[in-house]
Amino acid sequence: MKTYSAKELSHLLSEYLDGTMEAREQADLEEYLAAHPEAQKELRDLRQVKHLLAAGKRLPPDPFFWSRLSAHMESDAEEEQNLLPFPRKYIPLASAMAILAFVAVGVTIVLQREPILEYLSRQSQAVKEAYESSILKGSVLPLFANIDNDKVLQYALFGTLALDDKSETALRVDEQSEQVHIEVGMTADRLPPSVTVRDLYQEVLPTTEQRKRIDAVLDEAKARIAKGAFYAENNVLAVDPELAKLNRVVLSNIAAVLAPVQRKLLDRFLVKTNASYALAEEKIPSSPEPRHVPEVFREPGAQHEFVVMTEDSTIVTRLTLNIDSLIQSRMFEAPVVASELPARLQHLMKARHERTAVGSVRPPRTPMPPLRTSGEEDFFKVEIAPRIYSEMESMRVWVTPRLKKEKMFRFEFRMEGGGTRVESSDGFEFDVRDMDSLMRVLTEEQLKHKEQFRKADSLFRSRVKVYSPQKRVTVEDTTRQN
Amino acid sequence: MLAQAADNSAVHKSDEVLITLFQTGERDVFRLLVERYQERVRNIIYSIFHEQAIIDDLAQEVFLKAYQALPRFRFESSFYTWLYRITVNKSRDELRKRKVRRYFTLQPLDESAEKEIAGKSESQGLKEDAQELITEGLKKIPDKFRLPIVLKDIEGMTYEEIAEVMQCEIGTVKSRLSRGRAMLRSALKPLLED
Repeated sequence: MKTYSAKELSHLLSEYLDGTMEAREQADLEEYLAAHPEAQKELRDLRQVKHLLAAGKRLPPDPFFWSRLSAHMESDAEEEQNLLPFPRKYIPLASAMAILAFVAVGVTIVLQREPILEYLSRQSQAVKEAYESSILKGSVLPLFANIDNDKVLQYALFGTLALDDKSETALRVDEQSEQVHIEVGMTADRLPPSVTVRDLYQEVLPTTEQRKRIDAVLDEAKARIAKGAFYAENNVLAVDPELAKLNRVVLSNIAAVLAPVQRKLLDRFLVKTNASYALAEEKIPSSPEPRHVPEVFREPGAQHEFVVMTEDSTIVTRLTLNIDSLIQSRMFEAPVVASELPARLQHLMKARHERTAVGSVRPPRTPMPPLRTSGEEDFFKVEIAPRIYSEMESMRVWVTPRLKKEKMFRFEFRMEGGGTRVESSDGFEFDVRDMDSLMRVLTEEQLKHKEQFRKADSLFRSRVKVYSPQKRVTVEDTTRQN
Repeated sequence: MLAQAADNSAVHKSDEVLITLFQTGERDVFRLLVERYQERVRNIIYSIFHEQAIIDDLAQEVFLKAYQALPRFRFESSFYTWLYRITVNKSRDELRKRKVRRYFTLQPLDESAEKEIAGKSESQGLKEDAQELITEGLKKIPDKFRLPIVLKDIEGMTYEEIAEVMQCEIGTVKSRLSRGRAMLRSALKPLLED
């Protein structure tokens, strides 16, 4: 039998592990192994380590990677034609720092001005100036910093979260249309029903322990919502597109806490409340392990990519914020500013729309697919490609959107040749003289949507009066058609 | 325009075909190469650094470098080993830049690291923490031993490919792999089952 030094043995075992040895060499080693239990142990250990390495955490594909890279490449290309006396690349840096400053300023004024200025003193003069000039423009307001768990539940169930009880402005997630999208804007006819956590508990009858866990899920979601949408006083709106996932994540995690029989009750609750989601029974394991804090919320790092909209541009950028401090500083509760939020948002959206529509400024450089932004006078929309959800497969997502695409009904009013023309998603086209004439020609199926037609018509007319007659109005009827 | 989506028909084409198209002026196909390899490149960087913050910047640098160098690509190696080489070189540059001693130390793991790992394995279940401990163990191995482990045991490359990526002899790869694994085993000893 061959003998080996420790170093030789280690080397050979490594090759043996990879299956790359010559047959003769391998036979010698196997003979040695058979007679040496400590060598067997070493091989077992190496095998176990290799196995653990291979089974380690893998990062999922980043759906936004190309967007960022191509923006980077384009700015490099522009750089080649730069006539400025300094690199053009510092312009986006300054802009990003300015946006960061907008977000940081709410805290800064109260608490952290010195440390941030100290940090900035190490940066270029241009960035510093950008920051300081931003201070003068006011504070940053989380759109949803003081919502309660009832509101979180409503958002999870219906995908709509109103700015406040009086406001018609809301954050909406829509998973029923072809593309998942999240938008901030007016929501005259889609405010969610008033469903409370108590209603949920009365239906699913959770134990005390289960309640604690569901509360933890809702608390965590509340924190994510608070950290996901901001308005900066100098007219900037930042939205975390990840908020679009939150509904399914919250409902899935609530389902995970419950016993199988309670999940049936939960499903009944979803039907009863007309929720936008249903439990996907086939996806739910028979005995899911409940979690105290859902792991999907524990994303590494605090950096999130936000879609940031100003009056004349839209960018996707990372914002590193100390949001907890921001919220603790309670700047957002300043009554005057908070009450102005809906009007300010509407002003921003309208200004952005008008500027880009008349071409007075360079059109916004919208992010590349899979993230696409659009908007009208009263809403700002971020469309998210479905593959962003592929990573959710590993996230225990057990709910699906309840409505099917074919249940959607969409119609569009527009000015054409001095009249109003309406087109609907089922191929219907009609020159509208008045609503009565329209109602007379609608089919029975279309008449199911007549209330929506009326609202759309009224909305359209009000807009035509206020805004340019070039505008179109598209309305989607998301009423369930079970 | 870079922004434009590449032709759908190109999606299923081999790397070689896409590179040829790129070299004949169809720059849009670069997007397909990026989408094909971004996950792997990001994971290599993650395996080397185990830091979320660095992944995006470094991965972008890798693909920018690839974009600039691709017109001169001579098909002497596969695209992905070439891309991995750029990734490894960029990672090494970053490590050098940081001058973090622990990445370059040739000393065996210190006792405190072993104690730390032992403590964790006593207090928590093996399965729950194994990955975390593997990560910790890997971080403590000098990078010249860690890189072959990442490329072989995580990325599943052959010795030949690793040699190409690391620009060294196959014998060197085997030897570093064996030493790296021995170090990792030693670091994780308290964790390994009897």
